[in-house]
Amino acid sequence: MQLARSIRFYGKKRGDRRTGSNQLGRAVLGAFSAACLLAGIIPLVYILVEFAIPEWRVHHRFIKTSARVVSTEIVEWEDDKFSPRIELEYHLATRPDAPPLVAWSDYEIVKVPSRGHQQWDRAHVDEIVAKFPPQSDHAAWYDPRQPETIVLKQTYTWSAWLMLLLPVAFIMIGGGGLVFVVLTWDKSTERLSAGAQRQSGMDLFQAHARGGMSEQFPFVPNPDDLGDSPGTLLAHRLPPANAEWRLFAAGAFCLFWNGLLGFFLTSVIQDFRDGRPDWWLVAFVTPCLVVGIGAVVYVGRLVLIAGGVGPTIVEVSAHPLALGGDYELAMSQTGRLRVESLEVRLVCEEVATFHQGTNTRTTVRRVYEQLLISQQNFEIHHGLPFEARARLQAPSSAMHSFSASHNRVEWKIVVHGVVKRWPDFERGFPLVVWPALASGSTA
Amino acid sequence: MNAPLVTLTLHDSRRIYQPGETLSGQYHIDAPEGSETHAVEVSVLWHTEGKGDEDIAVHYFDRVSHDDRMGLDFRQPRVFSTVLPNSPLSYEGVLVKIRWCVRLRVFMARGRQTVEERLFQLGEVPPARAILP
Repeated sequence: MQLARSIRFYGKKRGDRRTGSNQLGRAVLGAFSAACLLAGIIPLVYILVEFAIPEWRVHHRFIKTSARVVSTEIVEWEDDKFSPRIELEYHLATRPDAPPLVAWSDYEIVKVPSRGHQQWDRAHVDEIVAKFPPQSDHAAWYDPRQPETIVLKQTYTWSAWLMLLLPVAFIMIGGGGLVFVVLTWDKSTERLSAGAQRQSGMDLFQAHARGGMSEQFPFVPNPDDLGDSPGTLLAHRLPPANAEWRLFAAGAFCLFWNGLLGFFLTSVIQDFRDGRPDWWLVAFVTPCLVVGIGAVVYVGRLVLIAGGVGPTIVEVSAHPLALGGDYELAMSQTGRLRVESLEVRLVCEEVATFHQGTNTRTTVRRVYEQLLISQQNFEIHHGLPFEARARLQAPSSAMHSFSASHNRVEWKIVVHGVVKRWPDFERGFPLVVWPALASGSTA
Repeated sequence: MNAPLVTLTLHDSRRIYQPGETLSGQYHIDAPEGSETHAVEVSVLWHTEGKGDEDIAVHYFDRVSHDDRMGLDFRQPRVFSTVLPNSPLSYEGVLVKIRWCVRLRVFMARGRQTVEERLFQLGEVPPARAILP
């Protein structure tokens, strides 16, 4: 019998990380979400009430009429802040035979204090008033609910409509956070996790009902996800890790960075030509230039490897592998190369993803490798690929493939080549390794 | 308020289990006077430790609460049992560590909780060591 430990209110240390109390964490999240929601609702209501709804009504609900200017005036409603007022005489569309209505118009529907700074300027207000001399006729729009509300301008304040996006974003963040807090309030991590697993179809309470091989090993990647391609040398051809993405991402970064750099460089060159060099700008641009050149070199290297070194093919006698199993591996390298060394390894790596501030970082650590093929100083001729075979013995005392949201154990075949007068290349071929339990069924 | 006395025992006192084996145990709670137990959750789960953010998955979960059953007496031993899955096996890696445990969470009055854990090992994967480049 043991006295249980109570949950610490502020948090507890687990491994290298401190985890907070669920309740406290959710309370803080709830308060933050409520603040976000409020910070979104207040400006949203303001924009809707002051701009969006009145302007929309002027366009879609107000009734157009012809109004005659009776008189005008300029009101100084605050120090050095002016607004126009125009007295209008007009007939209501619904009662054309009735005597005309006389009312003061503020020119447009947006309330004077909500108008932009430039609208309060005396010169600007003078200009508006000058457009409406007494006894002149103008198109005007009046509110059918309150006929004495009449405007002389139909307009949309587009900046206000665009500003709607900001409170909407706050409302979505705050609202989403509050919904999360309400749904998870007073629920343990285990209960939430069990519920999430049920919803994602990983119902471990009904393990017997699951049939497929991938479900036989929870949290081991499904070998079918790697693609089932038959080989020509052995039973299964392993797909290469997606190296094109690295080239694409590096190329996009290189273009973006150097494009931006181009503007600054043009300015620096122009300053030098004019004999007025801006040394602060030079100091800023120089390290950026180094990064830009580095990006070009890196992309060039990737292009050389992608284009210069022919495809690498790796095939295995069975897939997925099982720990302790005996397999055969075959590889083929095409191209026209003078190879200094070529090595093929079975590799296991741990991959951990973690948050550091607002960044997400990934760390990889190799924990197992087995040299399968090693060949030095040979040539590969066009149309005559280099081929080699090896025995692949999956270790019996190692971890199987494992995949969770933030932590993975990955197995792969790695081909590393050193080619004369060419950049070194390394290509990975992921594979799935099952626990030893499955050996015999696959080898 | 005093913490309740929680007794969580596994039926066979082994520390290492193999995939497919049955893990069973029992628990009971002796709460001091005035500290009412509202609910108890027993889970068989794994979670990660190490460099990466924590992953957790529950293999077996059972919640017993006064809301569902009136007149529950948590002082009476309650038994749980589950067949362990084939994976993931317990692992003592360099960046990634996978720990299996039976976790008993006791919910008491005023939102207080108490947790009791029994660690066990699923499979026998030896600890990993980093390979330097």
